[in-house]
Amino acid sequence: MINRYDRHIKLESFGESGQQLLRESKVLVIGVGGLGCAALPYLVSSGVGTIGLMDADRVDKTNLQRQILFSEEEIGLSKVNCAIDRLSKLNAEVNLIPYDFDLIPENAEEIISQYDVVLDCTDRFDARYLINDACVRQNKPWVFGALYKFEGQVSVFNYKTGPTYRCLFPFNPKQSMLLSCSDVGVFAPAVGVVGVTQASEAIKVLLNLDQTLSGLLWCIDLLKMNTHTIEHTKNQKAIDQIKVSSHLGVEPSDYVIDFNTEINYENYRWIDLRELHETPQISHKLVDALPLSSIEDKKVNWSQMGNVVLFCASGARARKLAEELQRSNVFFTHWGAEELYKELIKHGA
Amino acid sequence: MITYQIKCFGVLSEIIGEQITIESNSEWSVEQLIKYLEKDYQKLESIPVKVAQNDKLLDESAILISGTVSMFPPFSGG
Repeated sequence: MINRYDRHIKLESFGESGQQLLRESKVLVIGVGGLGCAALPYLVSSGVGTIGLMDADRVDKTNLQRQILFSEEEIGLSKVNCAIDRLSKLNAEVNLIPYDFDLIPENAEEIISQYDVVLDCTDRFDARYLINDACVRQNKPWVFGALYKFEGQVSVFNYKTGPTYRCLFPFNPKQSMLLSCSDVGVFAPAVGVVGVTQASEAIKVLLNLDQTLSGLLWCIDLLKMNTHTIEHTKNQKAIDQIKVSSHLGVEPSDYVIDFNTEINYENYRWIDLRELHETPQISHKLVDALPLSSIEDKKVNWSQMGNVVLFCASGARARKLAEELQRSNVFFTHWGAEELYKELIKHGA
Repeated sequence: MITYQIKCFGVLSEIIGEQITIESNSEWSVEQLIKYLEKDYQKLESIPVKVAQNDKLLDESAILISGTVSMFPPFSGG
C-alpha cells in the first residue's frame, strides 16, 4: 500500500525516520487566526502526531477574509472547535487537542512543557513576550510570525541555544507597541505566506535540521516582492533575566507610565476612569472619560484604541484595570486627575 | 562626505518614507542616526527601531559605513 507521506519520505531530509519523528512530535499552535489557519493545514497534512490549538475567540465575519479554516455558517462558533472539525477531515491520524482559552502567565509553562515546538500565531506583543519567556524557561523552541499590511516577519527563537524574541526586540514600555491587524488592515495572502513559512520552520525544527531561521529575521513584502534575511544576535543577559524573573511575559509594573522620563503626551489617549460625579472635571483634547462602572456594558475594544494611559484619582483603579487587561497598548499612571491635567498643560499637549 | 540610503520597512516607511538619503560629514553610530531622524520624525521616539547594514542587525553603538541602511520595526499582526 502506498504511504500517504510518500512524497515526504522521498526527500533526503525526511526518509522513513523523519516521517516517524514527525508522527511522534507535538506542536502547540497559539492563536487560530490568520497565521494559525495557514500553518495548521500543513502541520496536519504533514503528519505531525499531536497538535494543540489554543484560542479563546469565536469566528467573526471580518475573519473570513484571511482565516481560511472557517466558513460563513460558523460565525459565532468557537474557532478552536471549528478548526478541529475541518482539520480532522484532512488527516484523521493526527491527535488534535483543543484549548479554548488564552495563554496566561498562570498556565503558560504547564501547557508549553507538554510540546516540542510552539508556533506563535497571535496578534499581540504581550502574548509574544509571554510565549518567549515560557519557552525560554521550558527550553522549547518557538516559531515567530507577524504581519504589517503587505509585509511579514518570521524567525525561530530559543532553538539550539539561539537568540530569543527579547534579544531581538527588548520590551520598552515607553515605546508604543505598533498597531495590530484590526487597526491597520492586512493583505490576506501575506498572512498565508507567513503562516505556511512558520509551519515549514516548525517541521524543520522537529526534524532537527540546521537550516532554520534561528538567528535570522526573514522579512517579506508581498507588494514589492522583496525578501530580506537579516542576521541578529543573542543577548545572554536578557535570557538570564527571563530565567530569574518572578513574572512571565510583560510585568504589571511595565504598564506604568513614568513621568520622570520624557514622553510624548500626544502619542497616547488619556482615559479618565473616574465616575462622572468625581471632581475636578477635566476637559482636554487628549482626555476621554470612560467611567470604570461603564466599561463592562460598553464592551470596550482595547486593541482598536491605539496606545492609552488609564488614570483615576489615586492610580489604584487604573493600575488594577491595566493589570487585568495585560495589553501592551494599555498603560496606567499613579498620577491623579489634577496632577495629570497640570502635566498636560505644562508640556503644551 | 558620508551618504546613507535609508530603506524603511513596516510603519517606518509611512513615517519616514520608503527610502531617503542622508549626508553627513562623518560616519555615525546607529544611535546617532536614530537621534538625527527623531528630530524630523518625532513619532520614531515611540517605536523600537532595529537598524541593519549588509544584512546584519546592529547594536546602537555600531558605526554605520557609507551605503544602504535598513530600518525595521517589530510587527504585531497575525
